[in-house]
Amino acid sequence: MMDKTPIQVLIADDNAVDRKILARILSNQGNEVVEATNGAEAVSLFVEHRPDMVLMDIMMPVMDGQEAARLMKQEAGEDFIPIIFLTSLTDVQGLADCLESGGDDFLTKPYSPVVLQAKVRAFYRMREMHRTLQEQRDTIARHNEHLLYEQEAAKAVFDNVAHHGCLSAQNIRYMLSPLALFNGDVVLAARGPSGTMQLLLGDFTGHGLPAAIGAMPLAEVFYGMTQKGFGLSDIVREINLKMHGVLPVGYFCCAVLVEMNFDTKSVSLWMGGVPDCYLLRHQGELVPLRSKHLPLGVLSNQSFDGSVERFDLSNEDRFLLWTDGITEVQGDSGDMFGDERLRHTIEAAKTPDDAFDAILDAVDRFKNRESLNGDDRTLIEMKMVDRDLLDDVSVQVASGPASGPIDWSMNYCLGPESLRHFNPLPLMVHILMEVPGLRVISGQLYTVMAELFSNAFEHGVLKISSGLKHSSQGFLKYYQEREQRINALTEGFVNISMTHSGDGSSGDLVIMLEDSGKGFDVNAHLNPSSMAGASTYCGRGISLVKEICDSLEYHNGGSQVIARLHWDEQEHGVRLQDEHGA
Amino acid sequence: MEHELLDEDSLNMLKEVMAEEFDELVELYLADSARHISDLRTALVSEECTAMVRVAHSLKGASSNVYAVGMSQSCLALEDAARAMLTAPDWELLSRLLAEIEVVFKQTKKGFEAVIR
Repeated sequence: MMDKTPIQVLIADDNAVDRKILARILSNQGNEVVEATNGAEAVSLFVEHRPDMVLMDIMMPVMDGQEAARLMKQEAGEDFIPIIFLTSLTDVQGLADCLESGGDDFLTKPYSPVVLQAKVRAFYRMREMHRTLQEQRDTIARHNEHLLYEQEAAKAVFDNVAHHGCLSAQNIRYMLSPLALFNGDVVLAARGPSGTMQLLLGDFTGHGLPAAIGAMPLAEVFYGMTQKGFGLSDIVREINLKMHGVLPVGYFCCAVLVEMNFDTKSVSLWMGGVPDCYLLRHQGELVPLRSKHLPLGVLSNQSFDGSVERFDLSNEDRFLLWTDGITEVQGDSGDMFGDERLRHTIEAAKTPDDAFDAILDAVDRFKNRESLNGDDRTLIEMKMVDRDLLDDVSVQVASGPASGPIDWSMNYCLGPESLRHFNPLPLMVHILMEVPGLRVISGQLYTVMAELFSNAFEHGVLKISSGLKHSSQGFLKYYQEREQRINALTEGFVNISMTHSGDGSSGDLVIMLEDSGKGFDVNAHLNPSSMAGASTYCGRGISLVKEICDSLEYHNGGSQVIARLHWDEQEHGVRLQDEHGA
Repeated sequence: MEHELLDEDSLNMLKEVMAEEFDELVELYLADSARHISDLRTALVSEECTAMVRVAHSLKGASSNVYAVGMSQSCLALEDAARAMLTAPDWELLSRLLAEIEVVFKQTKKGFEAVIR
């Protein structure tokens, strides 16, 4: 009959005979017994010993069993300490009263050792179960608290990675819930060194931490590559490679990426797996945009297609972008907001400027308040503006060692195969950025490198006439022509030489590009009068480079160009101001 | 009293449970009961019906626990009667029922003394 764990039982009975018999039976069965002779004594012993259960008479002097039971239950709080009333079977009303007043069961006289043992055991099990349940409940609560804390921490880390973004720029409006990261939604925007703006709206599969974890490498790749001047195709390809490697099977990232060039008013767009979005022209025309690709992370890079769509925009033309959070908002009857309603809302907006708020209003009114799938509405508007409405591209000076490489030279020659597939600009700019004195003028250096390289490659190697670029319609044609010739390229080269010398507080950079082409009429291009009246973008190219550089020389009939730049720590501010004024 | 005073079989089981404490328990019961009966007598004399209910109830419970079934039944009769006439007690009836308890107790005591000696 003995059991391993002694159960502590409090007996409360004013009748000495009853108490004695009960105590004897219980201790015979291996339980620990505490005895009280009235209700008040029972309550104070209860507080002192916190027994596993209580056996108590109803009719007692000083304080009766019902009042004592009430106080004990109060004292026990969330703890379950069973109270069993002692009574006689003849007392039917008494039995009912027992349970009414907070008792958990009753035991009738005369006491049967067998029944008593069974009851004590049964209630002890119940108490254990209750305790386990509460522990599990507390554990779950603790875990949940921990999870929320972790999400906050993860969000803080993510915000550190993502805070360089330019989402606050004049031409962007966005709606993003504070914890959107854990719905899998990500919005990133950054400026390239040449002044372009790149934006990414991503929607990871799933919810919670698994959905958020992929956002970190995504943001790093996006910001890192945008800053170094990579184009949209390169970035989207690199992100896909990263996501394909990082995300588990079945996880991927639906995304739309936009690159805006505020000088040429041209836009590149890549869409994979997101619902239809829109280009809303300033005069109200609505152009649907459809995903042409699979989401990021699905395909290996061999089968991945990073090709972009190009659009020519006017000022105030804007993209309206979203994830499926908007279209899948549930209404009162359980139906979804849907593409149709979204399109009607935009069409009904008074002006393009009202469309963004109109969508938010419409979704808000449609939304079922009790709906559980809550706040993952992500909405972005990005519009074409003049570049001078935006802040200047910020320069990151604070990185790298104080005195980088000073005396060095390099030669980098690209053959036809490399020229077809590879853009050397980011690499070249990256090498230049190792020199602290050059970091301050990274934007200008990028412009110089980009202009000289595209001249050498497009006019020298590919032999495309720059005349095509002179009309705004010509841009698309120019790109088509360019693509055709790149695909057909079998011979030619571009040789890039860079030499740097200096003493740490000032330095000289010489950039030389040579191409396999026949050259061009240098004088016609460099003579400002021949460009007069042509306010087109390409016309600015060479003359802009001339302004930035201290000298620019063409040799070999135009197939070789040498640019020289001097930098001086003290003179930076002055020199750069001069350039802007010119 | 024609009916049984002690449930001998159950009492033997209780004797096993209580072992060396059994004699002590019986003496405790006899002493307690004598005190309860004198309390009942006092309550009757001072015409306190509620007190009679409470004491009869307590004595009934203790009696049933030591298998003094005669006592238990007599106490139940008094407890029920007293509870039923709390507002207008029939003191003559209550007095007769208490007298019966006193008689049954004397016989029960003899029965117990035979068991423990």
